[in-house]
Amino acid sequence: MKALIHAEFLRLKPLTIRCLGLNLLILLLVGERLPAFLLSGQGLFIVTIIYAVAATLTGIHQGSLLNQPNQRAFLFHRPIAPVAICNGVVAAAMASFTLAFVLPLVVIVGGALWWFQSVTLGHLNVFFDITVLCFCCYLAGLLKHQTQILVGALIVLLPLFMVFVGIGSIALMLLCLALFMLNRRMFSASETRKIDSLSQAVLLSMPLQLVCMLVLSFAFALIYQLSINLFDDKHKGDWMTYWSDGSYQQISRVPREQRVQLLLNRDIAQNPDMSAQLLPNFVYQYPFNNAHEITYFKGNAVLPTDDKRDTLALNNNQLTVSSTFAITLKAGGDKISSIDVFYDSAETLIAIVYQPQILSENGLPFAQIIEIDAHGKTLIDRIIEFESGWPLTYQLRHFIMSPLLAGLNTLLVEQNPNRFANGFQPQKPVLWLMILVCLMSLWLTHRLVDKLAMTKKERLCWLAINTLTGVIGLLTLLLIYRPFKNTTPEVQNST
Amino acid sequence: MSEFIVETHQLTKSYADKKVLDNLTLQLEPGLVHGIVGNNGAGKSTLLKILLGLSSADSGSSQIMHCDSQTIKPALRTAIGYINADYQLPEHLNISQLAQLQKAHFVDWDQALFEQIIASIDVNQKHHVGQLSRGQKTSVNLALTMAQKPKLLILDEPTAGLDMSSQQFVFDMLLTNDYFEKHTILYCTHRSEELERIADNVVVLNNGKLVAQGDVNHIINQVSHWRVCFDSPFKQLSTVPGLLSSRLMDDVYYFSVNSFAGDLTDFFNQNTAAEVQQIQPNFAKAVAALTNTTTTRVKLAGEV
Repeated sequence: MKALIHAEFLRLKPLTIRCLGLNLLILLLVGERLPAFLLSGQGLFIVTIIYAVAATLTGIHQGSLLNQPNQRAFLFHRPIAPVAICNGVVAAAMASFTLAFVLPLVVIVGGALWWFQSVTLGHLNVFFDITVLCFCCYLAGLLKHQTQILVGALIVLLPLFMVFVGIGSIALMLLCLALFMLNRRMFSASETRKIDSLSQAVLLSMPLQLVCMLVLSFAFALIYQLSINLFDDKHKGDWMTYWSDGSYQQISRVPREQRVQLLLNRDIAQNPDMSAQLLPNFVYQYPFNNAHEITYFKGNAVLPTDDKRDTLALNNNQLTVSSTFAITLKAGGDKISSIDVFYDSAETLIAIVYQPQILSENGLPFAQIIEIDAHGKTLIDRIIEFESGWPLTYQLRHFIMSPLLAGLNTLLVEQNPNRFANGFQPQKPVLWLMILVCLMSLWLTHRLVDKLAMTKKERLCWLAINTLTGVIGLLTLLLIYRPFKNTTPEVQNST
Repeated sequence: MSEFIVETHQLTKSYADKKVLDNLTLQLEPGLVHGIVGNNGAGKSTLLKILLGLSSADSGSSQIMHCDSQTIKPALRTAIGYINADYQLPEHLNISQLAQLQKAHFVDWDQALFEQIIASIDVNQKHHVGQLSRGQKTSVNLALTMAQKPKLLILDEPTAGLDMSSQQFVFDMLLTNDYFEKHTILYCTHRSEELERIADNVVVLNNGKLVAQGDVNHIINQVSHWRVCFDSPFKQLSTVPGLLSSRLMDDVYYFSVNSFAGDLTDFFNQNTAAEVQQIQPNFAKAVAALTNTTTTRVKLAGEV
């Protein structure tokens, strides 16, 4: 077996090297813009497509060996079980795959991101999903009749994969099983039985592999959530707010101190003299550590003046921020459960104030967003109504539906210096493109049915399954892109 | 347990609408060189693939070395060597790496024999397969297979596309190797002259059917050949008893007929033959006659 894996790996070596070259080329072409490129939806789309195509080509390259009788005979006429031979070949491919795709993803892309920005769990999540996609494409490439099955399956599934890896995997699993069941006639016309066996082996192993991947995804999600909720006290009570216009705000993904640090960093970065002296350790006295003690008068907040801002000082390389820096909301009236303050721009602060005791006209709890300019002038920007619901539930649902998108959203929030994130909202043309691709897949499905000369029953099943896959994709689109709830902040329980 | 090393019973296989094997029943004894001969598409390669479990039959059964060929145990494959014409060795490996790969799988691997054969074809073991000529590839392939020390060696047109010296090399390897004197070779080809040299038993296939089986002399004696000149064009082809094939050259008819038809002198004389002569039979002509199709022979002789 070892000899077989080694021999097969030698065969894949040139391809592996080319894929590595491709990665380097991407890196060179994109250069310093890589993080921004990856963080944009389009950039990620392009990179993922490139990797998926490369993985598919690897599969086809190996499949050509396994699926052609004359070439296959050299491997299969051996005193080893055919399954072991397949395993050996796939193992070699996995080694090549790891070298060509996984390592570059982690080392080159991750390394570049680390170099320019810090790597987060969101990055890892996205990498993981791209790896799953590549693996699926590789397996699809191994199959016989790639020109028919691959084109059909990938065109149907690629738009799903791009955004909905979670459900896309399940769809692929169903589709492959359906193709297997319905294309038996086509396979039975194959020249040799072993080709069928190989196709069967690959097709049957694919769902298993995908289930494993999904289990890993869930495990990853759980570990992620546990690490936030159990091991990091600072994140307890974090909440995520979903605005009714579709955007959302993940306020407490990082500790408040760190968040303020980021704000300060950004301010200081505007002043090269100060940024040069910035050190990571500093003392910050957060004024609102006990929300119950703060009272609030609507429209009467005071922002530190320019003079007070000057009180920021470097003292023995340690930045000390005086409490005067913070907003002072003068007392009077109802208690405030929570208040978060952000810089929206260099000159404007935004305060989000939540008062659970007061309900909106619709009888729902609400929060107010207040903009405060540099001169302390305040303006109520808008009022947001909350609906009941737990952000964690949403996050998990989000992750299950689409680990890739959930990861990307998390990533965007983590990367956003002012903690405002609109999430990954695809441009309308992209959305239309996806719908177009789905329609094309239906058309292609129809054409394939003609080629395969199926019975009426088989034809209907085949069309139904492919249609269902497309419909599921579109429904998922709607679910993902329009978050349906403004969730009540968890802090409500402590009032 | 059956005494035969290869046995098929009513084996049938079709590709699309074409029957490649048609109720083929065959029994081959161990320790002999069996030649399978037939035209292209006669079903030779398909038969071998089914025997090796690389393909399945539509109906019927087949055993190889007393084992159902569809359930060959991996261990049994060590005892079977297989080379086919289109056999593609992995071109990315060099000869030494190929040997290592084979050595890892075949317990009876004879490295000395392998090196001896490789030395005789004058190639460096560091050469990649992709760098070798077709003849050299066949020789390397033969070396790999022979070094496995198989008890049954299956060769599917191993000399196809080779020049004379390479063909000679293959035969020399097979005929001068003591090992194969004691073991069985299944040699499949469409070139009868190759079989005449090496086969102890010849199986003639035509359109997936067994048309003759026996040693070379037996096959030769299956067919009688006649050279006939007629006074006028002869158009009664279908009346020739046991006709297998016929052709017309320079107004002279050449007939090949089944031997059971007996002496046809009287028949031809009754059909205005000016001159009738029985030709000395040979193996190639016999095989060619046995593997011709009816439509072809009628067109050749009757319509020219």
